Parts: sequence; C-alpha cells; structure tokens
Amino acid sequence: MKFLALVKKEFRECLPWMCLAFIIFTGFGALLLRGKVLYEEGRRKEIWREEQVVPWCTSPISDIGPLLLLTALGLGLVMAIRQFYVPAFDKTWAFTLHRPIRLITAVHAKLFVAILGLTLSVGLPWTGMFLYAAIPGRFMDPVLPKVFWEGWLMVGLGFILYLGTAVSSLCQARWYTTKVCGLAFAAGIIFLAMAESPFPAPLVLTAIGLVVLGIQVYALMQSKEF
Amino acid sequence: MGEIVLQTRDLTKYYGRHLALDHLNLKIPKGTVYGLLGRNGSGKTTAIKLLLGFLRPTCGSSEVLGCDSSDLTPEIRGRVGYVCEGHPLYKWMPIGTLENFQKAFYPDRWDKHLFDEMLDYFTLSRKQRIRSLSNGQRAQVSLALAMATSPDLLVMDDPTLGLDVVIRRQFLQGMIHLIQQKGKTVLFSSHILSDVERVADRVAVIDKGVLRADCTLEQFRTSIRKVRAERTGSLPAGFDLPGTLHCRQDDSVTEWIVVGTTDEQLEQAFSQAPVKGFSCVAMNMEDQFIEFTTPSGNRRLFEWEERP
Repeated sequence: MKFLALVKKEFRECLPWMCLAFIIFTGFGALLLRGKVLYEEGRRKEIWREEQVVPWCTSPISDIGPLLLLTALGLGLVMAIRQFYVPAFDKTWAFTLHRPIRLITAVHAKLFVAILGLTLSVGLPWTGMFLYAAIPGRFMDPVLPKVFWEGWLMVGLGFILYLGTAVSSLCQARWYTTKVCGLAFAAGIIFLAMAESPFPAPLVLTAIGLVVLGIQVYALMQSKEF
Repeated sequence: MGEIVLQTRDLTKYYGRHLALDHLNLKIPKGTVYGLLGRNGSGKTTAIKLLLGFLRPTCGSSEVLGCDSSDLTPEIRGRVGYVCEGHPLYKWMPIGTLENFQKAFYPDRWDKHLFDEMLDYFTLSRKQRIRSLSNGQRAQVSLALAMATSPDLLVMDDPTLGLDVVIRRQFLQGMIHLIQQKGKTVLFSSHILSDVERVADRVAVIDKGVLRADCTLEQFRTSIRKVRAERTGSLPAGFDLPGTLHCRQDDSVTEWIVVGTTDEQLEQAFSQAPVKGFSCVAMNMEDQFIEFTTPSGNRRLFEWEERP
C-alpha cells in the first residue's frame, strides 16, 4: 500500500517524460521501419526484374539502433534528474521521507518506476518493432535474435545513465569535484559497451555498471543529509 | 518532569567550519507546547532536522519518543507529524490527491473527520492544486496533513513564516485544536514572538547555535526585566547589578536589562548606590527577546540552574 502510493507518485511525476520518449521512439522508429519496408519492396521488384544487384543489408532494423540508444539515454537522464535532483530544489525530500516507511522503500519506488518507464516507453515499443520486422516474409534479410537483445542492452544503458545521474545528484560534493564521478562512470560504461566488441562483453560491462552504481545509490541515500 | 518525548544530549552540528549548533541539551516532556525561539540562522532548523534524522550530528545524540534520531523506525516516524519550513508540497497534486497519498501511509491513524474539518475551516477545496495555492494556504494544507495523522508529537519548523495576520491566527487556532487533545506534544520553532506567547508553555532560546534559555514561558516573561534608577551621583567603579545583560546611561538615569535578578538582590545592590530609587519597567516579549539575544548579551536562563 505504502510502496504503491510512492510508486504512483513517482510514476505520475515521470509520466510526461515517459510519454515524450514513447512518442519520439515510436514515431521516428515507425518512420524508419516504414522506409525500410518501402526500400524492401523496391528491392524485391528489382531482384524480380533481375535488373541490378542490390546490396546486402546487414539487418532490416539496424537503423533503429541509434534512435533506441539516444531515447533510452535521454529518458534515463531526465527521470533521474526528476527523481533525485528536483526534490533538492523544491525541498520536498523531507516531506517525502518523513513518513512511516524505510528510506530504502522510497529508493525502491524510484528505481522501480525508472525500470518501468524505460520498459514501457522504449523497451516494449522496441520489442513490437522487432516482432514486426521478424514476421516471416516481411524482409528478405534475416532478423537475428541477437539484434533483439542488443536493443534491450541499449535500454539497460539508459538505466546505467539513470543510476549515474542519480549518484551525481545525491552526492553532496561540488560539481567540479567528485560529484561528476557517477555520470563519468556511467558515460565510460556506455562508451565501452557500445564500442565494437564481441557480444557478451557489453553485457558483462553493463552488469558491472549496474551493480557498482546501484550500490552507490543505496549508500548515498543512507548517508545523505536532507 | 514527566515522560520525556524528545531529548538531545550535547547535540552539535558543523557545516564545514561553521558551527551551526553547539552542544544542545534539551528535554521536552510529554504534553508540552515547546517554542523554539531564535533569530534567523540561529540553528533552529538545524536542531529540528537533527531531531528528525534528516541531518547527521557532528557529535552528540538525540532521541525522539525513545528512539535514536539517526535511526528512526517507521513506527516512530508514524507517530511524529512534521510541518517543514516553507511548506514544500508536491505542486502538481490537487489537495484531494495529496490527501490520498498521505492517507496511504497512515491507514490506522488517519483522521478523515479532522482533515475535512480543517479544510472547511481554512475554506480549501480538494480540487485546488498545490501550485495554485498561496503560501498561507500551503501552510494550512501542511498543518491539516500533519494533524490528520493523529501524531503524538508534532514538530513544526517556522510554520507561520511569511503568513499574514489573519492566516497566522487561523493557523494557530488549528494548532490549539491539537494542543487541546490530551497528551499531544508540540515542538515549534518561530521568531514571531506573539505566536509563541499565544500557544507555548515552555520556551527555548537558541542564539548562534547555543542554547541560551530553556524555561517556562512564565519564567521567561518574569525573569528578563528592565530596571531604571535615577542617580544622584556617579555610580562607583565596577558597580553592576546581578544578572546584568546590558546597561545604558544618560545624564541622570541608568537602565539595566537584567536576567533572573530578584527584588531582594536589586534592593541590596541599590542600598549602597547613589540613587534616588529604582523601578522595574514592563517589557513585552519582543523587547525581552531582542535584549536577550543582542550581541552583547551572553546571560543564560535555565529553570534548573541557580539564578545568577
């Protein structure tokens, strides 16, 4: 009941940003996918006429990757600012935390809403797009399952940036000192994960980033002065 | 002294090198309305935040309802109402939504009847968004939200700051409503002395982080006095009244502000001085507070200490 009340409050506060991320990703994603479908139709006709050799496409939905990454990162950043930075400005930390709950319950509600927000706004539309592209006969080139998990990895990177921003927001040091460490660490993980490397490596890096930043968020919440 | 609801032991807080609170020792018995007085930046908010565990003390400790402040359990937090300074509430919420949000945390303690009554009294509607409320109305919502949780202890940090006279009066009436309920304890900080005088039965004065007074309101009112004496000659070198805070002289009259000085002590002091006579001039609480906390004043006033 108490957790649900906190979740509802956090969800409502992040809802405009979730909607915006959903509209941007679904809108532009649909346009990109539509372009791909049209291209595919032209390609089929050209192959049928045997007029020219059409270049091989690596993956029919690879164009959506950068959009997915940028939307996930943007949403992660904005949600962390809304949940951890804004309360310090409008001085609502004490009002939120002075109630019969454990501090950790409030943190869990925030993290839960962040995961939910990324899943609903970016993750599920991505799954929908992948399933659409994977319908047999839709594209001539195969849609590999690996691409699906790479997409979810990008959603995970959005959560990494969320945690990094949360750590920086909660840290009471100055911006030009250790306060930037959370964001810098998250940026490093994202950069390394996106660098060309065999697939399990980005997954491992993301997992390490989640654990390190997650522990930091808990530790900072426990020691923070409100 | 009855059951102690709130207690601090040498509670000290530094912000970097700045000493905000210096070895604060307070004991607040159950059922007391305790006014925490002090000028801006004197350490009132720091003291309250330390008590509620929002700040960590540099040294010392405090207890609320028998539980250490740095580790308040949800059960104890549920028994303590808190009205934050400036009344920060979620601006996007309508009052009704805020009520539902607050109610979810106090399923057993929520007093819907009282909340409705207070909204009616303050002429507030559940549909009004916090964003659209004035500072005074937000204060009223804050008080209603805190009081509807039926707290055993209500802590309010400068609740009437920035409110006009009418709203302040309504706010205090609301507070009195709580006080009238048996066994409720209220700790509130303020620098509006008429408010304190109206509702408090004990006062503590914090000045630059140091506790300077902790006594009943009655004792505070009677202990700080202005003594005026008409001189017939110059006072002997080193002449001073016991408990003197300040001394002002003009051609023939000398005025002392004294703390805790009895009539007998005054009579004895003036018996050997070249004065025609002396009189005690009435002071209002504001004057007393100003005299007590002006930079040159360094006297202390504690109920349990020997008078100076």
